[in-house]
Amino acid sequence: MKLIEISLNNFRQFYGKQKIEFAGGDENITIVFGENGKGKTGIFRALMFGLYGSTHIQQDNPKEKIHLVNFLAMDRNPNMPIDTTVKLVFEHKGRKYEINRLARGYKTGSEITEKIMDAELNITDEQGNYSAEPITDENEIKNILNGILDESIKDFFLFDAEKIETLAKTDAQVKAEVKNGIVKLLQIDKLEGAINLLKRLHSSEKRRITSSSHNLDLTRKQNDIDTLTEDIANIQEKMSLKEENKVSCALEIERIEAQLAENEDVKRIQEKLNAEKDKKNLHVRLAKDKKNEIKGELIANGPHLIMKDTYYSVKNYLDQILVDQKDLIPIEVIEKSLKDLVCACCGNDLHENKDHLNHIELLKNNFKRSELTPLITQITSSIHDYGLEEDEILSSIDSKLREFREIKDGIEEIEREIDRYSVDVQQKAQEQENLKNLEVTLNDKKAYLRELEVEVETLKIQMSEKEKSLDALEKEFTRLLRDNESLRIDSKILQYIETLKERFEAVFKEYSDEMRSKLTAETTEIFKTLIDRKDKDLVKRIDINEKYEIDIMGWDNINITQDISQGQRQVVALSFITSLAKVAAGGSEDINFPLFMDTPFGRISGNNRDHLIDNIPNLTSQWVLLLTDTELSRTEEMRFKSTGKLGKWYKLDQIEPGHSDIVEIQVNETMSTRG
Amino acid sequence: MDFLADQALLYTSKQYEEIYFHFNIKFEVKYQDLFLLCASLGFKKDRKKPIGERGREFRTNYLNTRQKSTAYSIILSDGELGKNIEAFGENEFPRKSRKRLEEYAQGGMEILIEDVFGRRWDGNQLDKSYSEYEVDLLSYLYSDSQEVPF
Repeated sequence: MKLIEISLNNFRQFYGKQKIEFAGGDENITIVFGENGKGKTGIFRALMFGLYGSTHIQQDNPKEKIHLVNFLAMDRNPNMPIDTTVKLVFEHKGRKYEINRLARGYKTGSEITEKIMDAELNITDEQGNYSAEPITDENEIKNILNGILDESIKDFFLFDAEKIETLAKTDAQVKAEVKNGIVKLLQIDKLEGAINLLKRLHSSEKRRITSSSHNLDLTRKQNDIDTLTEDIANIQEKMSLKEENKVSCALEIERIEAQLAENEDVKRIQEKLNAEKDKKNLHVRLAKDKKNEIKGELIANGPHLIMKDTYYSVKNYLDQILVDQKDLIPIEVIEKSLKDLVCACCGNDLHENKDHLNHIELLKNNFKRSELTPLITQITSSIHDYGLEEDEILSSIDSKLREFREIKDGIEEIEREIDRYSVDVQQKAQEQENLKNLEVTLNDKKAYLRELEVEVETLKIQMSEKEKSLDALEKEFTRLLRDNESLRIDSKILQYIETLKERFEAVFKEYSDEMRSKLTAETTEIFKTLIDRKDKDLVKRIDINEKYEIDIMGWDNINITQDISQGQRQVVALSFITSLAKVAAGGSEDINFPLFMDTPFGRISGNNRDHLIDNIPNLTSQWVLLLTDTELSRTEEMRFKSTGKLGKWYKLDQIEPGHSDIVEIQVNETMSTRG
Repeated sequence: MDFLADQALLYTSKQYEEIYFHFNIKFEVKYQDLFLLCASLGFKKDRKKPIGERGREFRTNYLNTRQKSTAYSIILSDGELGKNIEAFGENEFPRKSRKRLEEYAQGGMEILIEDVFGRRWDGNQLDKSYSEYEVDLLSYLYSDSQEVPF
């Protein structure tokens, strides 16, 4: 699919007739530049209205009415019908599609009425022939358009700012988005629907059985389960709230630090401070690694350390037992000799030779021990092995503990440095009245963030304990039900639903696992292309884990999702989005659909922006960007121009409130308003 | 004879259940791993205590071969049950042995609380904000093993 042009008439802020032609081919970047409030998102809305007749986009509250007709035009022509039109032209597989949509509005007093009117679709085939009559049937238009870019996967190509922000934000929302993406890609939403239906059926059946059984034990267990489930939900809610607070607090800290960094002196110290922080992160990860090794030693060799002196006496004792049973004679021979009172080996009469009889009886007693031989061998060989390795184990433990202390000392040293630089920043800030308040707020925010981190950690522990108890309770409930004679059939029904649900879940998991690993590979690859070289080696893999969370794995395979900056997180979000688009487009080399992004650079740092600008045009056939003034400074402008890929360049000019013009600018002209 | 290979249950005490939970959740140390550490320590320092109310349990066959050897070494060296491997086949012996292991584990945990956890144990649970228990534990066992006993 290739977008060719979009023409608007009285659509939202765009008073009168306006037009955008999209860049394609080798110069495939189209930029629409506008400060906030000038109508960037209006262009996105026009595209959505043109393609699917949608009035709402993701960031809108679906309950609120969205007006399409230009207010100014209605104000100037009270009680007159005002038409708003969107004409979208695009190509797909050699055919050209022109779609016209119309909405009509009136303003009477302060009341606005709007109505969506008919749509028209004209198709021109490969030879340039077009149909005599346009298609006007809404369902037919929908079918044709869904055949080109299914509405359910359009979100993989056309992003509003909200989507990118969401993916870069809190866990719960990201999880939902990621899962949603996978479900849509695989088109297994019906399967998911069936699983949810079975879950509900299971819980309602369970409730019915419990209440009709009048069994006190069952009711009590069910009540316990309900309470616990509620507790877990509460903790979950609390946790996601705290996570959200954490993210916004971290953002606030980044913002204040950026403000402080505008002062040259402060900036210099802050650079050193950041270098120390990076160093600290590295050391913290090393310490984590070392701790893991220490845990391994503790489990494998802790008991041996304690028992090593005892082992030798145990081994001596067991060795002696083996010695005592050395001259072993089969039990049948011994027993026959005792029964006949004649030695089965040498024919000695045992009546006469009491000593020999005693000896054979002793042999019989000792024989019991031979059953112990495998066990004795097991114990003595474990002890023997430990004896061989003892020196090695002791020296390995010694060095691991010492290395851990050294890393910890290193961290403390770095922390002292960090404190020192922080005090320096503080002092510099104090010297200037205007920075003083910022500094105070910064400190408060940092303390608050630490507090939040501890709280989240505690909640996590609580949650996993409760989940374990819930699991145990559910098991007890099932056991009670099974053991209850009169509820046998009901129990079977429940079991049946449960099994069915599990089967569906297994199918779902199988499909989604495959997709997860595909997305993991694509996202990682794209991330490596998009991220700044400096950060490339820090990240080994972007993992879409079993819970549909996006995990960022460091070079040493340690999860560093929590340690990366908001900017890096946004690159991760963009990589994920682009990988979805790539997979959705059929996984070919580049994405043969336009990538349409509204305000994608928000928090991304300079170097990383440069990388995105250099590389995204190679990943997709068309890149349409709606950029705000803070995203397009002179540096970015130069970068865009240096790619040689910039094809079309527009600026949104606000003439008066309610009237923005789309002005085409020559690609060699200067656009940015900020340095 | 190898009765620890059976699926019999070993219990931790309710009193210290939280410690077992915390090590399990936070450090992924399994119940049997911590239990065996405690039992060894209790034995070495000759401290055995009845476990009182039972807490989380695990099966003896969760112990690996080396762990079983350690557990048997404790039993074979016990003042009352020890030096009597022939008794392993007797009916009552496995039960008595498990009970003894539990008692040593209980005593060992007491020692850990006194010597390692200290104020981080408030009588009910460990201070969850502290994250280096496994390091402290190994340091303690290591330095203890280096001490000359006179």
